[in-house]
Amino acid sequence: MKNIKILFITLTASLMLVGCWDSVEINKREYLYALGIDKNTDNLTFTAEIPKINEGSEEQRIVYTKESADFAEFYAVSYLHSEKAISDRLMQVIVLGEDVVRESETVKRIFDEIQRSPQINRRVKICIAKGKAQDIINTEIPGNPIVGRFLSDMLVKLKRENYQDIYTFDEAILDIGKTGNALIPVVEVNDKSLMIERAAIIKEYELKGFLEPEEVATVMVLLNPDKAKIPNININVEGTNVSLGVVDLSMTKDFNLNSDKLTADYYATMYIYINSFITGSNKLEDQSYLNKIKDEAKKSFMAVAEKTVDKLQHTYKTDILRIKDNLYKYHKQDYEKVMDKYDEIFEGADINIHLDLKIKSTGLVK
Amino acid sequence: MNIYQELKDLNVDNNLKKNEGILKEVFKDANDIIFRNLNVGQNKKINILLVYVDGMTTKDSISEYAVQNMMGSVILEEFEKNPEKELQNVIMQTSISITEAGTLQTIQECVDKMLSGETILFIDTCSKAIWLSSRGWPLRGIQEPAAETLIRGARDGFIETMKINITLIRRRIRDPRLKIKYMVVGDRSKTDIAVLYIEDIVNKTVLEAVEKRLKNIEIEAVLESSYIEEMIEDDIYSPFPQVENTERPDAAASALLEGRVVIAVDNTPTVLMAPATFVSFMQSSEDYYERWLLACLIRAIRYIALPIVMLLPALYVAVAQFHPNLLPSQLALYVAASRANVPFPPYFEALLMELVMELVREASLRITTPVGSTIGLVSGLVIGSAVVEAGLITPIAVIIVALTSLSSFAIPSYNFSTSLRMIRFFFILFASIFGLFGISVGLCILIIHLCTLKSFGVPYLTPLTHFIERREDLKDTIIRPKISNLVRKPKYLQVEKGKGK
Amino acid sequence: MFDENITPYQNLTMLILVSFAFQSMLMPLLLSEVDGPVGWITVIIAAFILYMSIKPINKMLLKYREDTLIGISDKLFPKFFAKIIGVYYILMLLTANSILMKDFAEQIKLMMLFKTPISSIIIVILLTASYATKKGIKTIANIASVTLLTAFIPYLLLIIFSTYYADYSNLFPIYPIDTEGVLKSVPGALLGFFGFSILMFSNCKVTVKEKNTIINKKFIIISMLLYIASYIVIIVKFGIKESVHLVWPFLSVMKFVNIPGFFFESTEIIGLCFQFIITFSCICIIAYFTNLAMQEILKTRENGYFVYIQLPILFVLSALLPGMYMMFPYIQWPLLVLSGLNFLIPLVAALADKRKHKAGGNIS
Repeated sequence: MKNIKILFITLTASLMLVGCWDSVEINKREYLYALGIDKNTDNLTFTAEIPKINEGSEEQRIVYTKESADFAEFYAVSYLHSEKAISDRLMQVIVLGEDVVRESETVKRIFDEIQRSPQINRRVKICIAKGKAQDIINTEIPGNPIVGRFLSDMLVKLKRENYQDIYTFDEAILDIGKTGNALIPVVEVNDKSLMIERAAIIKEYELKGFLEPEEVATVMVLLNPDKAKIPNININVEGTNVSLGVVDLSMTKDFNLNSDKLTADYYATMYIYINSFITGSNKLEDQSYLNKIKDEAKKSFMAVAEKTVDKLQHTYKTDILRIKDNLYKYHKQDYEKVMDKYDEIFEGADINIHLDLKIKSTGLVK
Repeated sequence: MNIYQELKDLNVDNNLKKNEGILKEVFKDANDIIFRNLNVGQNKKINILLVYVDGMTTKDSISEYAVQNMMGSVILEEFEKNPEKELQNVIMQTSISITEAGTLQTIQECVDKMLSGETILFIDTCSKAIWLSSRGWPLRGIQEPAAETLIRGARDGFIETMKINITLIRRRIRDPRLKIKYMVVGDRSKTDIAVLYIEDIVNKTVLEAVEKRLKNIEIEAVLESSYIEEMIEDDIYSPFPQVENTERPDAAASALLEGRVVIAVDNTPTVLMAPATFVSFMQSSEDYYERWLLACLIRAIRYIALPIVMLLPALYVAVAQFHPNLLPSQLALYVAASRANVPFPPYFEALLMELVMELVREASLRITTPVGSTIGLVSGLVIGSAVVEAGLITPIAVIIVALTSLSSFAIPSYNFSTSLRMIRFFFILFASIFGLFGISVGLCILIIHLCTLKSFGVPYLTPLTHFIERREDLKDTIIRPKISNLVRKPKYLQVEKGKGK
Repeated sequence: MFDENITPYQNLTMLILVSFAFQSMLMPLLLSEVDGPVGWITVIIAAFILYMSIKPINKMLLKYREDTLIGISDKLFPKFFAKIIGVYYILMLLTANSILMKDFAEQIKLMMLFKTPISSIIIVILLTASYATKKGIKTIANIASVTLLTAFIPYLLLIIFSTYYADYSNLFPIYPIDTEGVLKSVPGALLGFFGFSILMFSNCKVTVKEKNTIINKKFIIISMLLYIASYIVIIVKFGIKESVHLVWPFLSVMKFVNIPGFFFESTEIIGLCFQFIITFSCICIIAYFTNLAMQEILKTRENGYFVYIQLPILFVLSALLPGMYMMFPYIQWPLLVLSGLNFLIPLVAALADKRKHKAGGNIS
């Protein structure tokens, strides 16, 4: 009994010494849902989206723009301009403006500050705006007025369906840390909505360029063949439009580094089915016609794939395909000899894609 | 010296009048004590005095099986021929056909027996009195206990008469090794208690501890088994009970078959079972009467209800005040929006609603049964919706409190769920100060307390504290073992002192 | 059930828990000192060294059944030397406890209670731990068992779910092995098996002391497997290049927990709650054995009240110590000394006992 008394008194005394420093009611915070960052002459322009939290107004939002040197200053200024405490705990997405990502020092500073921030939502998504991030945040989407939620849901969906490689900030940091490169989704204004079709190539925290949707798909196939989502292959065979869908893909990779020569071979077997043809036509029963379809499809796919690889090697000189990572893991001794001049080696590498197509099914399913 | 204090030293006198005088003084102003003088024997030469308590005896059995026989059958000449035979023995052996009877030496014994419902027969010239078994008072019928109803299972329950309760247990365990030891506790109440155990499976150390603690009870009166419970448990300041209680004979029989000790107390329908562990409070007889899979599911639901009862309001406070990022963003916004016009902080909301629920619960207990449950339900609904509409509380707080209350009913043992309801308030306090960290601290303090707690030497959290050594006992915790694998003799009760493992 | 001693498996539970706490705290050392994801080889080497050395130590502990290492040193070594060993263990346990507390308080402050002063957090942890420590070894062993079931296992399950988007090829390259790095990080890995120091004190409290031989070996093997598994989880999630920068690897791992259909967003806070209960048990265990060491040195009958002496010392040490990320650059030499002494002192005592036994045999 004496022990309980002592414990009780001591605990109570300690409790009286505390001031519940961290106690801020959930409705007394302003939650940043989306944050756009653009470059100004000396500073950064922060565009913040905050959902209103008066009862019945969950679908309304406030958007405001402020110029600050960094996040800390932005938060400090916002704190003084509002009756509520600014909070990034529920931040859904950070949109970086195109002009920001063209300067590696700015990007490094921003990424460093995000990593140091103790309370920011650890699953905050990231994307790059084609143009100004402010335009993205200011977009009024009729069906879903909260841009942060819209973008977040879209990025989750794209990642899950393997349309994009990265969706969270932590993944971007991980990729850049591992290989120095990252493929970050690009968001654009599309009529009265937003779309994410392209991806941006970031090398050493600097934007190198953009990949078109079909190029992104190719890269995803080469990176993650088991889960990749390949869009329909539309071809024209003997005057007939044929649409093919990819049902399965198996791939083996073979990388070799002999002194300064890098050879990368991708052996892919793609199983396709006929998505749409002409009703009533029985041309699909003809094996030679099917072979023509396969050839055309292969040509179509290879054209895009080769264009993509060429762009990565010669235009952007960025190893998004993570061949470097593979060499480090499986050919470490050889890799360490050429590690300092890897960019040149990658540029001069022989990257070949050997594609074999198999048509799994031609018939209708009724 | 006070006559009551002298009774122990006073023996039954040969002189009937003297005995009568003493008893009349002892029971002065006690008008329910009946004194009946009779002359019995063939020649009506033997004077006897019958003393009994009106209302506690079955007078018919005394008249039929004692007085009537004595009226005609005692032969004084028989006694005169053989004066070595004491008269009371002669009368007891030849004239009294009541099954239970005995002799008494002291006046104190006579008083005790009489106040227990027996009839005392004093015989002139005899230095011993005879007690005749004549207990009989109005009994409540055997009904299903209100607080321990089952869908499937026996519908009988204990009543206020200890001997009938023992009979209900005997019917379920027809084993000569079922032992019953009687004791008397309470200086004024002289309440009969019985210690039941099965000789070859009970833990002897626990039995000794129980008997010792019962013998050491010094109290004026025992009005309910809870008095005994409080006097014999290890830590009365703990919010957790260390002795289990039940009104069901099958639960008591089950406890005996596990090797536990059952204590039956007269004048109360609740028997005590010792030792009790955390896990035993989460078990119900119904688990063993339903199908195996269903029973496992129900038990799992109970264990899910356990943290809900303790922690849900505290979690709400922690999330609303400290960690809104724990919730999905959509829900966090909804909660924030619903709190927009609420003037009170979350901890006050939680405390207020918990208090209201406790008041509703208490109120519905006091109101008579046909109306009580309805009023409880209506008041809960009305108060809940009214406070939400008035903007005093958020709907989420009402839902949380309602869920918590429902979960507390999922815990089979009433006093155990009361303990959990009590510590919920401490968790709310911790959460309001330190958020989830405070809840963790509270959990640590709870774990320390439970790990320190013992019930008659058995650690309270057995078998969790020895889950490798006592892994067989784990079979009967979250899931129920099949009847064929039933751990009738838990390992933790098979260990004797000195052989500790 | 009636003894005030602990069972062999409760002893094992305590040793595993304490080791796990230190392994997770010292994981950054293992990650950063070895070039390449081959730190698991370091762990295997450290476990092998301990496994080989446990046999003579087991014999010695079984022989002096009722004594801790300090009591044994008293019997084997000159008094002054024995006292130094006792003081060393007290200081070592106090320092280890305060580092553990400080490390964990920092995590709590960063993730859960950003504005709360760290001293308040430390005081609360200390007071709660002291409540348990005063209750004795039986309570602490019970707490360890319950913690293992209710907090440790869910914590490990939570971490396993973080491997959802993991890349298992991050375990490569194995060859060529950075031999120098592997050998340099062995002292750090040895210190990760902190239970090895604790068992010098806990073995005398076990009821069936004959089982200690097998329990001590089981502890080394299970702890090694846990250590390697933890290391692998971090490596497959982050890869060696990013892992090098992590100060609290498990915290980072928990951010990536992805249980399908799980709706909580900040899973690291939930993991931290489990981790708090585990760390709290470890703090109690270490504090109790510090009490025991003090009792042996000062030759008192009871040891419960020494926790009141420990409280201010632990508080001051925790508050004064810099953050873990600041300590790592300076920790090399102290680590080497500590792990060396922790390993060598019992071994030297075992060898001294063997010599004494032989000498005694020769004389007779």
